Amino acid sequence: MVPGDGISKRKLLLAVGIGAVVVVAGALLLSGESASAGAINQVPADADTVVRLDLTITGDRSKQLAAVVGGAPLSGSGNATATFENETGIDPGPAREVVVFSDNRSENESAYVGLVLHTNADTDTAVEGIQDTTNSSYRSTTYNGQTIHAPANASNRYVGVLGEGELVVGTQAAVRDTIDVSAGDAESVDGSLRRAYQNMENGTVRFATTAPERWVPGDTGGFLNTEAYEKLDTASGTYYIEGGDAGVALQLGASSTANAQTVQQATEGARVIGQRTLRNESVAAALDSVNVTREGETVTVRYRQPLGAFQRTVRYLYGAL
Amino acid sequence: MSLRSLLYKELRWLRHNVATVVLVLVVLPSIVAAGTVAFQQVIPRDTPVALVPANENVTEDDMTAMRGVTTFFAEPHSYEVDERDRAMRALTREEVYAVFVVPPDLLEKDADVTVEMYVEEEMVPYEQPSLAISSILRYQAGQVLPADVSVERTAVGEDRTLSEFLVSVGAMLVTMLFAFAYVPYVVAEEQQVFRRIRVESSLWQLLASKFVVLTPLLLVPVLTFQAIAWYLDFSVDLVAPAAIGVTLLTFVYLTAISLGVMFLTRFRTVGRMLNVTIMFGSLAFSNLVYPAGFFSPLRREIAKASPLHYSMIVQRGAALKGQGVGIYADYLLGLTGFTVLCLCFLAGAVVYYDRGGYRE
Repeated sequence: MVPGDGISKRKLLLAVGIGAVVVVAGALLLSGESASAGAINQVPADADTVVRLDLTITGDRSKQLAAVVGGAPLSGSGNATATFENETGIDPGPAREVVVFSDNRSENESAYVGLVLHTNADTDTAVEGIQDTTNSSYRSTTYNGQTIHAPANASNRYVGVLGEGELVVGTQAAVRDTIDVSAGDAESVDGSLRRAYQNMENGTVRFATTAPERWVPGDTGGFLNTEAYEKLDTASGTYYIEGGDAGVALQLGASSTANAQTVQQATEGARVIGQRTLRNESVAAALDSVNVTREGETVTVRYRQPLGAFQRTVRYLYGAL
Repeated sequence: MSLRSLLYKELRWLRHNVATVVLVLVVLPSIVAAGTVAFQQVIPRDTPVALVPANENVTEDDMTAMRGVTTFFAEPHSYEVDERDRAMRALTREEVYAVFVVPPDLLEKDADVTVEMYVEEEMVPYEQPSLAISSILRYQAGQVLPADVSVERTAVGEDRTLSEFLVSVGAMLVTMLFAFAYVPYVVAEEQQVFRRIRVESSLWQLLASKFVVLTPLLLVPVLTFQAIAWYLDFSVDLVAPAAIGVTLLTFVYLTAISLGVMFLTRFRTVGRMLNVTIMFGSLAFSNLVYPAGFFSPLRREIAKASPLHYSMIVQRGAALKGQGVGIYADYLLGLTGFTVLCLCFLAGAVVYYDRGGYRE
């Protein structure tokens, strides 16, 4: 928080939705818990949050990743692509798609999390790449006709093979469920999570969650209005790059029209107040281009800015300036 | 008779009266419980309030910011700068329960601005919450808005006590009790002679005479209320023409509903229980005492759909606020329309009953 701004940037960020995609995707990416897209069909029904990274949209994917990750307070984030690879063991080069999924309803946050990876790389090479990041030896077992590489150090990085160039990495339960789904023996993600996900257009990052309250930071005293976002049932979003602009679209699903109205009014209020409160031109310009609309129980927040300004905004909001 | 056969008899009774039993043992408690569960909030969060710009200098951004701040403890409705009178009228009509006058420069750093807040003295149950709301607004605005915001709360209208407020509500409760409990009882008593009445005159005439006699009879409890109010020196005028008018109108539509139910159920016990259920339901969900939106947005919408809610507003306006009927003309028109609908329902129920023959 910049002294004298009188507003918590983190909450503002959340309130206007600029960074929600970045927050979720960034957090998952960097903690090595990320997710994927045709790969969405392999995600088990138990998941309540999915994040897809499309690594094949355009040729300048390293630039796109940099726009997401560059603003985040990474250790040694000089090269986003390298960071991504270091953290996940996935070489973004041949990778096509990653879908991170997790179930946040359980007490233990790491109890159920995984990522489905589709890559053009050779399956064995990809498995080795992932194993190299874990400092653990692996032993191979077979589950439902597929190979699972189990880590000897009981970490959460089980690696399951779904097919040629298709892997799942994560906790044991998540890896097993994904193999079952892939084999057609279990249901893939469905219901309101699937609908929320499908309501969003594709982008570099696309996410959906039916546990949005888990991603809302608690009130830290600055801007007390994050409680509006606790009334949400679903949230989904996309981050995209188009014609030199970066954009974010966010759909917030409330449980009633009245709650959606509260979310809309709180978001619009935050936009106006933030615009006048934060003394940073990029951010003020960013807030100016935030568009909030509501249809029934769904609030849509859209924001689009030239890539450079977008990055400056993200960096500012993360406190990097 | 052995215990066993007595038990069989009881089971048979249960089976034959399953509708009544379910109503009494399941539906009724559910409504009462659902009605109380919602009484969890001390500070209303979803009551409608009006936001009016103080003058031409108030920008749309100021209004947006104010909506963003107030949306956490109210349902803000924005008015134009020249609509302050309309906002105050909405206050009297209980469309909103507070009016906030939004000053300019809310978004100017360190500007000293004052938000005026208007509430009605007569809306007694809202008095304490409105004090809390003005504190919350002061705190929230201080946290979030760049300007230094103070809130000035003004109560308009005549000072009334909670007792005076409740006397006006009490008259409405008696009307409900009369319509849902007493009238069905009186008509059910005469059910035995319906066949003879049908031959000698008609059920229609019977019903007409009931309405003609019982409607004015309702004035007795209302007058009793008023007499006690006078004795205790309460400032409440239940016998104001508009108050009397809306009370009688309310009695007519409630009675049409309760009798319609009795005829539809052929005066079986289930009909009485259904009436009690409707009475409890409308009592719990019409927000007779508390402002609409006091408990939840859903209950606000239910109350706004309940004719009884508007009956109460008009009666309170006449009896407690000394308002004429003019300001409530559309409410009264709606209530009259609803009364006609209820009478049609009653007529339909009687026709149904008549065609079914007189088996009992």
